[in-house]
Amino acid sequence: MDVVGKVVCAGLGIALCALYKAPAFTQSVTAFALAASTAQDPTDIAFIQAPEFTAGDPARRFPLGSRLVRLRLGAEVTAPSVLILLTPQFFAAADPQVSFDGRNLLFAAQAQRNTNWQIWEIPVKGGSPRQVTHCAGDCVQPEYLAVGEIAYTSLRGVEPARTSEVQICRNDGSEAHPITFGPGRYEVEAVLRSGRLLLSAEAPLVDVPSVNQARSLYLVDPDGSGLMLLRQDGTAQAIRSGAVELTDGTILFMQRNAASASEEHLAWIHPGALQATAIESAHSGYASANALDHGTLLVSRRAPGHRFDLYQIFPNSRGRDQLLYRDAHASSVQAVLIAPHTVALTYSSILHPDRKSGRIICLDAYASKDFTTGRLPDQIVRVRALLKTQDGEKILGEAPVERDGSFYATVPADLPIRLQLIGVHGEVLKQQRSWMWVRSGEDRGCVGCHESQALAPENRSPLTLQRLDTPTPLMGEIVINPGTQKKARP
Amino acid sequence: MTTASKRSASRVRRRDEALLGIALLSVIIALIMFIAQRPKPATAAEHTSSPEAAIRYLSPVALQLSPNGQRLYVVCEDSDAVLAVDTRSQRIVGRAEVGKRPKGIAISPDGNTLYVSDEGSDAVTEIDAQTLTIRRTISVGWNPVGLVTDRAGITLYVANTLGDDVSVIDLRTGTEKKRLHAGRFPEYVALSRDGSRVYVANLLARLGPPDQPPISELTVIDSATQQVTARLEVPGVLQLRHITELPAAAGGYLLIPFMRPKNLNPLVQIQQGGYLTHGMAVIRPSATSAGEARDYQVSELLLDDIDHYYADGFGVASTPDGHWALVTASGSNIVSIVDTSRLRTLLLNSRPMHRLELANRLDSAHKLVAARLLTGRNPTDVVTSADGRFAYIANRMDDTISVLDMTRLQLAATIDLGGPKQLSRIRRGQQLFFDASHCYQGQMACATCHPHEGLSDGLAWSLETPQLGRDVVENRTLYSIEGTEPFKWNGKNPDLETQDGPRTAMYIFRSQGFSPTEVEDLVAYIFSLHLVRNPHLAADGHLTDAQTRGQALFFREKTNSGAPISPLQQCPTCHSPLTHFTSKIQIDVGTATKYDTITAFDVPQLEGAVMKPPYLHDGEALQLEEIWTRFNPDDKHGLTSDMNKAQLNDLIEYLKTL
Repeated sequence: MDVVGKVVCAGLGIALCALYKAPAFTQSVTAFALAASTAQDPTDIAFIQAPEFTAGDPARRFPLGSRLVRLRLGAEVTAPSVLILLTPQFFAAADPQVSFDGRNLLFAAQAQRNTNWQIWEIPVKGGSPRQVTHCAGDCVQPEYLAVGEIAYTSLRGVEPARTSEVQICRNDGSEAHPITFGPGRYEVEAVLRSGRLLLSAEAPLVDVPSVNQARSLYLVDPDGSGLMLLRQDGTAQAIRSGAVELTDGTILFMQRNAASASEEHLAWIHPGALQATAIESAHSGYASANALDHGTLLVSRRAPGHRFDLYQIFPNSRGRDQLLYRDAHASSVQAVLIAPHTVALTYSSILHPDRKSGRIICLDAYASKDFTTGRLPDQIVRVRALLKTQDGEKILGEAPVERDGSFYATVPADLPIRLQLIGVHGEVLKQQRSWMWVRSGEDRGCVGCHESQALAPENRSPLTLQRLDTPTPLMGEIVINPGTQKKARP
Repeated sequence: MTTASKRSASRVRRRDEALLGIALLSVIIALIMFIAQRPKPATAAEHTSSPEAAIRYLSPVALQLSPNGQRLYVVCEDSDAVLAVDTRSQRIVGRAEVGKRPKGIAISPDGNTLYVSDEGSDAVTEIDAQTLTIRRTISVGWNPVGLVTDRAGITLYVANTLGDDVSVIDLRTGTEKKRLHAGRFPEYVALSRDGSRVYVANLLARLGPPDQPPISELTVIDSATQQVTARLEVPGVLQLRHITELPAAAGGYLLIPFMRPKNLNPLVQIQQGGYLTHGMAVIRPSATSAGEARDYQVSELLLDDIDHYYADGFGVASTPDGHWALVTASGSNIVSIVDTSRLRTLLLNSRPMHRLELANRLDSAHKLVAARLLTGRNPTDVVTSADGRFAYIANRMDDTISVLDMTRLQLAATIDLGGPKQLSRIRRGQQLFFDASHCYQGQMACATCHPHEGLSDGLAWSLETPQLGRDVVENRTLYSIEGTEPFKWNGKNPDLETQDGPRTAMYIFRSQGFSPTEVEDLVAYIFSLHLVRNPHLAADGHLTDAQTRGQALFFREKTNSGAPISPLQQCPTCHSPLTHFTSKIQIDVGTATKYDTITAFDVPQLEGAVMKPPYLHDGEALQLEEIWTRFNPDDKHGLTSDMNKAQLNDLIEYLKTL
């Protein structure tokens, strides 16, 4: 619907609007205005309306169905505004994302109550949606990448054997392939302007109950290489979700304690901060949060026992929250600003899919933030690589650790592994409590083992590279069958 | 048949005999040798002579405020001019034409005289600050940049970048009293607040073993005796830039932006400071009385964040009360405003061990930086007004001045200096060259490792190869490289488009890099880079006696004893004067080490390349002479074992003219 159409709609109401041109379905509603200090032009948003919303399993969030709608927020109160329904043909819709040029919306949708979730795309002005994915399971949480690709979460199986991984495909749904290779139920959170993907996954992944609810934020390159925790902030029992990147690079997300029944509150990690900080607010009970403009946030929040409504909030000014939209019969969640935004950088992969192995170079295994000196006090002799198997784990081998703490080893690609540091008596001094993987042909660099993420490495040539017999192969007895090898893309 | 033709025919016969069996190589070399007769005179063009190059951009690069704050003087390096801007009306009120490629500016203590360094003229232009008329031109050393007067206004100190020294000028006579040896590539200078010392920041690190971290130098000159009294080591960094000294009440620290490389590490990880970081040296002179030997405490702080980098620190200034320090990140179009009270607290509360660790901490800036403000393109110099209300930043790549409101820490205005709005291909490439936004998390621009418009940073880098830790290679200059393809020490990049296109994106920027059109622009700019002037070569191209003797040695065909030299051991065979003194192929000259996976290396061009050591593919040779006296035991790198010291000196004198 064009601007004229919407003006007509606003003025004459639903009936004439439907006669004029209804791309899907429109409804006259009351929307509040953006705060005067931030509103300059009318602002369009898209969000999900649902009679019921439940956080958790991405395929079970809208048990009674949901719909994707569009709404214009003015600089002044306009009543009625027009709510445009974009997805009348679906039982449920979720996870709207705006394309970099601001013209299209990517979203997940369920055609019928019992069909799988797939990824779809629709013009922001409305029209016929285009199906992008044809997943065997459920595919949700889509995100645009820079060069005609999208990332999404692929869900398979049912609880307690539910799995999820992150996949990439072309905009037409072709060339779908996974980029995560370990347990942990990886889900897409956001595509950062640097081109990397922000994921969430269970953590830690070792020595924990089989059903672990704590989730942390991870970074990974779009080719699946370079997996790392966004921050090791020491709050292991926190469930983090709904992460987005703000214009200054701050990562905004929702967080709640896995061990209690508390509701989500907002927190963020600034680009230079080692720790996340809670956003000052008297509220909790958030369902989503996103950037709006002028440093304000567009959030979905509810009072206890009520549905989720949309608010504009001022993170550093308690009490200035502005109600934007409320529907007495439905929750409003996952709101996004419809506007062009900065295109993420394209990532240039240097993987070699034919190698079937990757390499790990650690510069200083002694570096560890777990000790007041910042260094492991015991002498490290070897590093051991363990491979996750169906019934536990097996040792792939051990490599020498030089006196400067460096080691260099080859490990099988695209399989979940973890490392242990071994002392002079064969004892395990430190061990990784999460699973990682190395892609085919990847050279994974580590400053240390569990070092502070704020610590850049010293400038020195690691002793392990002065040996001519490294990298040490830690391949165990693995025979990689190309037929079962997950596809790796350069 | 002429004598020259007879000589050429004779050489061809001997060469064919010697190269029998390696036919392909012989053909290439024979073609080069047949034509090669004498060296091509070195030129001093600043840019190519294309019509686009005729567009004169301004490129403001240095600033000076009048004492009353009413005038801002702007040095424009690409238009050979100084502009005067009225700070109230923000309009240009005067212009002075100066020498070639002006780079720096100083003002006399009474505010009546300006001194502008003309890098391309090896001179300083003295200007009446009110009328902007030229009073005189003073000769100084090679490629002057930074300059400052003493408190009395009778002595001028000028940093000569190519000369590695500082000219001490008596302003009463307009003559150079002496030259003081500085570090390597001294670029910017500052007078201490008490006037007792002149600080000189050196862009390049000291020469040292390529397998050790760099050590940079801050040279300290006693302004009373005009002697160097200290050479402060700033370990682990290079590219020391502008200098500011905080007032004593704010700690009295010297602040100097730097780059902290990780060239010895395998470059497998760009995040978490894996390639390099950016920050500033914080140097605190001890509180001894003037004249006594001073102790200096050198700390290093990063201005990068964990998840984002502020590339290529350049200008630095503080407000008069010292509360705010401003540091421009010239590759990121950002000025970081540092709360110096927090800086002082951080340093005073840090134990020595933790103070050392600060040099690698990426979470310090989060605690110190009060604001990051967007500037114009490529912010360079920054100055603050005497009342502390405003700061001015020169944006080299868009010909503007950013005006900051320091009471609100906001951009107050942008002054358009009136440069051409049309962007030539070279200008577009130049903008890209200084722009770190193409790199993942903004870590680096081309200029990060090629500072001062194409210089090599003098470091050997452990770039990623199929085998980590192997094939460590010395960075190379970008001066005069057109026509010297292939590129890289292994010769694998057939042209600069390959080098700067996908390969740079994949292995250096770890991001999308440049589009094909951008690569074309970038190549055009890089091919326009030459030394402004080769100070070793007379203006008329005439060679000195030593240079002439060296030229003869370069082209000699017989040893000192009269024995014929195999063509493969003659200098011009590989360093052909017809092709910028390179044969454009890879040759084994016996310099490979056990850490190299190849033995044959690209023959480097010599034009503009011999100016700054180190040399050879891995930077092992710290002086030219070492190429032959340490790393050529078998005469594979030319027959040089019979040359005596005097001959080697002559040869070096000639090579410097290329």
